[in-house]
Amino acid sequence: MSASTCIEGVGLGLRSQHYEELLSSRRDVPWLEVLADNYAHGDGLPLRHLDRARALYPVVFHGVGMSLGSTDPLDGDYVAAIRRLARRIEPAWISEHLAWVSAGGRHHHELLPLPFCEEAVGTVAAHVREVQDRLGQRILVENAAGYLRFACSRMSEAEFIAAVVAEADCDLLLDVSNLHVNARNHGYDPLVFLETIPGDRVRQMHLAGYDDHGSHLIDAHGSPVSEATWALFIQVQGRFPGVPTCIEWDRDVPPFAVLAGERTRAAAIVDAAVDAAQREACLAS
Amino acid sequence: MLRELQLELGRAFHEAGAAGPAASSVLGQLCGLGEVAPAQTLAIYQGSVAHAVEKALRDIFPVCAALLGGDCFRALARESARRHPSTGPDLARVGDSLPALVPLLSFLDAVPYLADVASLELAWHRAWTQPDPPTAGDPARIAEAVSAEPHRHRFLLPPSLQLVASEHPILEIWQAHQEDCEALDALDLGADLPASQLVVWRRDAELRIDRVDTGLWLLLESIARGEPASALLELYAPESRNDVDELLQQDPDDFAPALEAIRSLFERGWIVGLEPVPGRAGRSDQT
Repeated sequence: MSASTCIEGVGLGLRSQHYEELLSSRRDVPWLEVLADNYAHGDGLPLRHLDRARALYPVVFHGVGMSLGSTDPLDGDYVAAIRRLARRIEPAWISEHLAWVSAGGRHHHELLPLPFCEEAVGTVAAHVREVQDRLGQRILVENAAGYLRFACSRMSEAEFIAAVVAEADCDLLLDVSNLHVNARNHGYDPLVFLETIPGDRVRQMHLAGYDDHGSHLIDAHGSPVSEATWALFIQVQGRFPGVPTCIEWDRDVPPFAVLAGERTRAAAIVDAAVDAAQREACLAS
Repeated sequence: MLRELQLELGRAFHEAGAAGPAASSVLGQLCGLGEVAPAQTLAIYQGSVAHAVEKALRDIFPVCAALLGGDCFRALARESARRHPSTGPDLARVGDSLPALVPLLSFLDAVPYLADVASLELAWHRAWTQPDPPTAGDPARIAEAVSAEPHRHRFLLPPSLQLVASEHPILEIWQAHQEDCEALDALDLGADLPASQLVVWRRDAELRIDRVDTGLWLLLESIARGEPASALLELYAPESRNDVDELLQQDPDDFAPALEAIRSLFERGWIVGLEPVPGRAGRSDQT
């Protein structure tokens, strides 16, 4: 059995506020998503916690520092650090964002948006291929929330993602909350987005809360998943039933019970989608 | 085209508002976001980029943040980002230059102990992520090796151990700002509080700050500087400071106080091994 086959259902993003609840004994959580950046650069206690997490749960890595969309060369030291950590922890897979974080050697520590153009496709895809070569495995790239629109964009976000996946031969992490945020902010139909991306490459999903500023939404990871996102998640799972999903919560992290409640709600939606798909398959046969 | 766009955006994200040179230059390449004008969309990122650094610094320096208050700490974070732009992906490193920056900022003159409190908080933060020490060797064997060839060996401190000194009572200030301490209001910084010679370190999963006396401080400083064990022996026989060979010819009993101090450091976990001094051939007593 490959490592990735043990990632099923709805997992949680591991946050230090929940070390005690999640790491004292195995909880009713099928897998954990780990922010690799928090562990790749150091040693000491953080790694002990991560070792403990890995002993109890299957794990996937998520990253924010690879800067796949940057016109700078790839940071070889960063990728090497992720590779060392991956060899130690053996995550089922590794994901990163379709964004840039640094340029000209300066790091902005924020996921920054790309124009949707051929040049950006080529830049991202080249970096993804290089990362995959260095890590020795295919990675997942995530649709990021973006609040800028560029005059030089020549394609839709979904077309951009499809082009990157085709050129880089990578997989997709579909952030349903980012999809909702971008669809609302940029005024596109999320269902058209879902029809355009390569569905067979969607290996994982994300759910998180956003801040509603009236004129626009901000992907903030500091509140419960919104009802609008839940509704979209039902549609997304209907299209891609059973894709493992992770609940993210990074700001004002609540008590574990709140996160567990979100996880339970998402798991019910995933289970219902899988059941519906199985019934449909039975009827078709 | 993408290269120039990213470099210009990168500069614009660190300007305030849309009037800066980079922001003005890049706005023409942006479209609005529904009701939101391009300048406002740029401001979203200006805010989030500044917030990312400020939050990272606040996580590393919570006592400094509490001492300064929100607006003043925010100004410090902005100045830190301006003078020391981040050149790596590790957010945990953005505070490395903060203790040295504080004395350069005149708006912080009213808090003369702030730089030293920042040094203490940075040491605490680093102790968290430093690796565990190697398994400690046999103190008796190490003592034997040291007394036989003190020129050729030097002691090893645990990777997490850092020394923080201040003429201010920074440990008391730090303790007064911990969650489980009720003494914050009671702390009188004008009182005759002690200066600080502090050891910040991690024992297993426990982070610790220990105050040490001047004798122990000098020993630890000597080890931290990478000086050979003979330098430690000199500390205990100051009359022989200029003639180590003479010192080594003394009765072994003369070493007893020094060896006792070293044994004490071992027992505390503040010496974790011994290594040859680089460039001096000798027995390999890596322990």
